[in-house]
Amino acid sequence: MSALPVLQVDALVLHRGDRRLAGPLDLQLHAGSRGLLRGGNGSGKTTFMHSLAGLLPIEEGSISVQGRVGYAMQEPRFPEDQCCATYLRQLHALLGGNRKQREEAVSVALERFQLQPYAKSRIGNLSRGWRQRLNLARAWLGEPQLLLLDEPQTALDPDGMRALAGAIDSSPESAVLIVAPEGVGCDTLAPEIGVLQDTRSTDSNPEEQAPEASC
Amino acid sequence: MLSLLFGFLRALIGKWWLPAFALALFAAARLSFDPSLGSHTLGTYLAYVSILPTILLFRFGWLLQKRAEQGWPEEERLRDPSGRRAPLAEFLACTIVTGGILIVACLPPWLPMFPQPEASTGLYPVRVTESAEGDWLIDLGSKVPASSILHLTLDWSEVASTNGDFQPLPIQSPDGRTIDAEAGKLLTWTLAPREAYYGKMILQPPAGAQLNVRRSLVRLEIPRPGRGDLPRLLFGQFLFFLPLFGVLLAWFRFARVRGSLSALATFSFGSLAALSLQPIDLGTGPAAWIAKIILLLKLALPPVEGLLATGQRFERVADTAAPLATTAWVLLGALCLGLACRRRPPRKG
Repeated sequence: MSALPVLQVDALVLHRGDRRLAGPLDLQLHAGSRGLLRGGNGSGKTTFMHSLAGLLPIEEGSISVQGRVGYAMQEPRFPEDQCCATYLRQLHALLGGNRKQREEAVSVALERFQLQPYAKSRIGNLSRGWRQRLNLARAWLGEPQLLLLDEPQTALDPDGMRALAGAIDSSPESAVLIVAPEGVGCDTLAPEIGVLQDTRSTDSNPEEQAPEASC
Repeated sequence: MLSLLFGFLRALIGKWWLPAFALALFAAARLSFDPSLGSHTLGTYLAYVSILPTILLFRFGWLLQKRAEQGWPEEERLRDPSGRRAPLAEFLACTIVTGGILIVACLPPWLPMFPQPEASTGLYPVRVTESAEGDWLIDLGSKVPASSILHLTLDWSEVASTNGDFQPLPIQSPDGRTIDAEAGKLLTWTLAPREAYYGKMILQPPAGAQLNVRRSLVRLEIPRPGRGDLPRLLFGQFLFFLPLFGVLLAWFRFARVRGSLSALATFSFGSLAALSLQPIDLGTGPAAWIAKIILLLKLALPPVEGLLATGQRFERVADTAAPLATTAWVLLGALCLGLACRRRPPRKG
């Protein structure tokens, strides 16, 4: 493990609008480490992941990420009229690099989630499960240093779950953070490192608010 | 970058847009040059052609919005720390399509199936007043092409003659140019670049000669550009539309305005830049104030209406955009593109 953590979260407080969701949160992930954060509906899992990915502004606390982030969102959006391989190629083009690197990265991403038969299929024609595989494939595209997976098990069949576990295992240099609700089968993917609690259920007792997550 | 560019190009022109554009150009040529259908002028053709980049502008806005709904902004934020690759690819794609349309638009007037626009000129009345010193103050209305010629009909009835013969009289301008006016002939004055640029000029008849100008018969002759000038005029359109794509990107990416609204705002901005100012009395009513505000906004922009010379009186504005104004216009577009490439902090959820 390198000295600098890939992800360092200090005293992060999550807000949605004016409402405080959770926090203060502290978290540290080094290269190669995995972590699973649990949380019920509305506890701020997605807000937390969006903040880590830099898609939401931080109001309190700090987040430091070393390297690039790959993010598999809970509700992925795609260009429905594009085919999978073309879409991944364009996403990789955002990273820069040459054509050879791009083709190689796209091929690896498709293979990792067994998407090769669907490489030339329109995304709009994919089933929910295969869309989720594409969602995961795009998160892994270009081998990011930090992988954020928001409920990655959604719509995956056992084959897909095995592919996901395999992808995590085959990324020893990346830190992986998963958020998922209780009892959805993510326990085998990463060790649990904390629980996000909906502050509305603990507002009556401030001392119980949002336990720290740490790794 | 090339992959992004081709991806956006494919999205922009789709399967049907290229044939649709080609058909539109064919229809534009038919409607413009067919004597029984159109006005048989290049200006009408240029007006029809200018609709295509305008459609592209709105399609660009729509496409940007669609891509935002497809999650591209998040992916760009995750993958491109500079935030430049996608906007540059989008801008380049629009540049290529616009350039392509305008290059193809050069061809129809040369096709044998279309009657050729004939060489002609436009004649415009000109306002002439007389100063206390007897000078003729000539107001051309606005900036005019440098190739314009002024024709003055002179009244010699009060000029002294020798046995009914009139001696030629020298007419001169303040900058020292002189031409002899002869009785029975039109006085033809070729405009100096400065006179064409400012749209105002002074001619001085000899003091005490009693030579008058027939104000109602003064005309400005402007040669109409022919089909040989079409590439240059279409290049003007290209330079006019190019910065507008940068402006649209800035609205969408920097100001975070919805795609269709960005296109509408850009269209209004472009219309303002294309507005040809005419000296009119605006009055003082509430509508006049709106007009004054519009004129003020127009004056804040580089005077580039000459780049978009269209319509039946297109020769009046063609070639009137000064290189400095054109450069300022292009730089304005570059500045907007620069703003669009700036990474903004994430939005509050």
